[in-house]
Amino acid sequence: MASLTPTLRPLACWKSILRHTRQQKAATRSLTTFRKPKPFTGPIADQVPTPHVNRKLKVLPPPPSVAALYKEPIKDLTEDQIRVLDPTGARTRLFSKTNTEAAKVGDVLLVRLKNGDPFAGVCINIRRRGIDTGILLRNELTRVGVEMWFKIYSPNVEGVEVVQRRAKRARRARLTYMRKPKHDMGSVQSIVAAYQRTRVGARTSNANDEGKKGGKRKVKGKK
Amino acid sequence: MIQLKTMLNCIDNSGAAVVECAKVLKMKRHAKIGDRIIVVVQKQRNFSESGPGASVSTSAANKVRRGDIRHAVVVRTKKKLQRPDGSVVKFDDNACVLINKAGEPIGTRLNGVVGTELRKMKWSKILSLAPMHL
Amino acid sequence: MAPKLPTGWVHSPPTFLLPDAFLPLITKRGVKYGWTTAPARGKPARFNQKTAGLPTLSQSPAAALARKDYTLPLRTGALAIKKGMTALYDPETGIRTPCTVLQLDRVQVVAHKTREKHGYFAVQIGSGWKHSSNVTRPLLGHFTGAGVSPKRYLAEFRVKDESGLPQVGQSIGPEWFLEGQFVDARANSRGMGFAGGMKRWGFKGQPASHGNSKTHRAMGSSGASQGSGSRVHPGKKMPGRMGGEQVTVQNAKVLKVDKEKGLVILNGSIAGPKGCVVKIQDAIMKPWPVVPGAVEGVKEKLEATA
Repeated sequence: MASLTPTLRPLACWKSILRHTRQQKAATRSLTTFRKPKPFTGPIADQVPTPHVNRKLKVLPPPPSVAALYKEPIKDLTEDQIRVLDPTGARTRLFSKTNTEAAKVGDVLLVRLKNGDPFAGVCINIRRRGIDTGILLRNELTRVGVEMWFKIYSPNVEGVEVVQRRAKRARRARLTYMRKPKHDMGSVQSIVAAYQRTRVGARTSNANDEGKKGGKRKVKGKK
Repeated sequence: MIQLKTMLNCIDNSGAAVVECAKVLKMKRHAKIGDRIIVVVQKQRNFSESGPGASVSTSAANKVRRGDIRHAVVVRTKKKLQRPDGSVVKFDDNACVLINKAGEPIGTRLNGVVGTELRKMKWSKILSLAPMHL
Repeated sequence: MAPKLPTGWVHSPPTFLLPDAFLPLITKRGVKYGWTTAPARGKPARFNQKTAGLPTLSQSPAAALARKDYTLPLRTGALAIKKGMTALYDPETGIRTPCTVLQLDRVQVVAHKTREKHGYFAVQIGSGWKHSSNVTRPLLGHFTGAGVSPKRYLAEFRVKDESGLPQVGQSIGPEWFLEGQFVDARANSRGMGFAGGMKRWGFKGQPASHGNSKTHRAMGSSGASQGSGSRVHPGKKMPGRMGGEQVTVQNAKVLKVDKEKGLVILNGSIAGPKGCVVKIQDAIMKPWPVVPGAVEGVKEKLEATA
């Protein structure tokens, strides 16, 4: 209502009035949207707005959850894989903590591989991590120290044999000091050769001679 | 992890005993087993003291002299190397074999274990010369 | 200034004097005075979809969508929980593959975002379950309206067009992803807390010796003096909070899908700790996966036309 026209003008002058209304948008709008109050009809009770009711929303029940049934999928996955990779359970037993006959650090182990020569060495570390359980073997080949990690459940590993047990239980979990020249065991090839000779001898003389080998045990994971 | 200035043992009978890495070829990173490097011969092998097999080697002795610049292939590393099946191999020293520009070994014999990765990298000639591979 | 008298009733005649026919029925935009022969333009559509004969803009929502057209996935992704890492062995070849295990828990489509209403196409996905007493009323109404139970996690996955919008309420299981396909997995990385320049940005630090004193892991200089305007430039890498930001792993291969247990197993590592929420969607750097159902649909169409 910025520009106001003279307050009084003759009502009879139609043309000027219409032009003026077209220009004055605000005025037009106020005319077209003129609000007429509703005629009062019903009783007073109808006119009072209904009070706000805090209606409860319908909440849908959750669908069944598979995640709640399988809360530890990694454990299941590991068990499934071990069942396939180690059907007899020999590998699990050979490196389980509860088994008193299990291979321990300090033992000389022989790993038979699917492709390649077997590798023997003194076990200086056992890393127990489910399906990723591995052993660290150390040996000396052609006067060069060699260390190898093997995953015990790997399909490339055909079997692990205990060649020689350590005389006394190792008092460390990891015998990394055996890398030092002072403690290095050197080559274990002679021990392994002797073991293999007795194995072959036992096999040829008597198949039932397993018990005579004393401390030397053979645990071979069946493929 | 063979890089500039790394000292390696030379395990063939070319006449070099200790070599120094001068360049890792075809890559910006350190060299692993099976990678080609350029080396400088730092120490010659004294064949009279090298024990058994020395008389055979003397014929082929000293094909290289101290200060020679040669190509070589890394065959053993102290750095652990992981294989596709999850097993890891680690040697106690870094070692290499000298080769000529064409990729054939200069020496005729190798003494010492080498990594199996050489096969994958098409160094089967070195692998066949080696007494043992892992 | 003296207050004006309300004079509104005087400029225009009272209604009984002005029949409706004399008054303009609609207030037309842009036509203030006089008349025009051009068709009425009306209210423009939202997000500038039609340019009404004007030249196409290079910077507009429509242009942005056209630019993104090539990289927007055709179908929605899913929300998963990272359960941890393990390895898979191939019994034949003996190859060990490290992998991340993700679990999908009651993943459902909660809402759509459409071009007309929001300016882009996207699917709102919910996962998990939340007790209704822990959900605010507006959100509860949102879930109830969609016909799903309250969800713990909500996320949006952009899709290319309306054919990528599944029905609201549809469940998305691990079978949504195909074994062998590639996905992009994004999750919030582990928070490292306040980290220095060496850890956060890989700065070299200072030498341990050679006369160095008490300065080994410092950031060093933060820029030149006069040459760079004697100021620290914006974006200078400095110590600060590290981690806890979204990290996308592109082209992670789906190794295995287990519908029974709700598992999707991806090759390699994914950012974040165990139990974090991971968004997985078809990889944008690889060809879109060929979904068996979609192929059948195309086949039917082909047969119908042939």
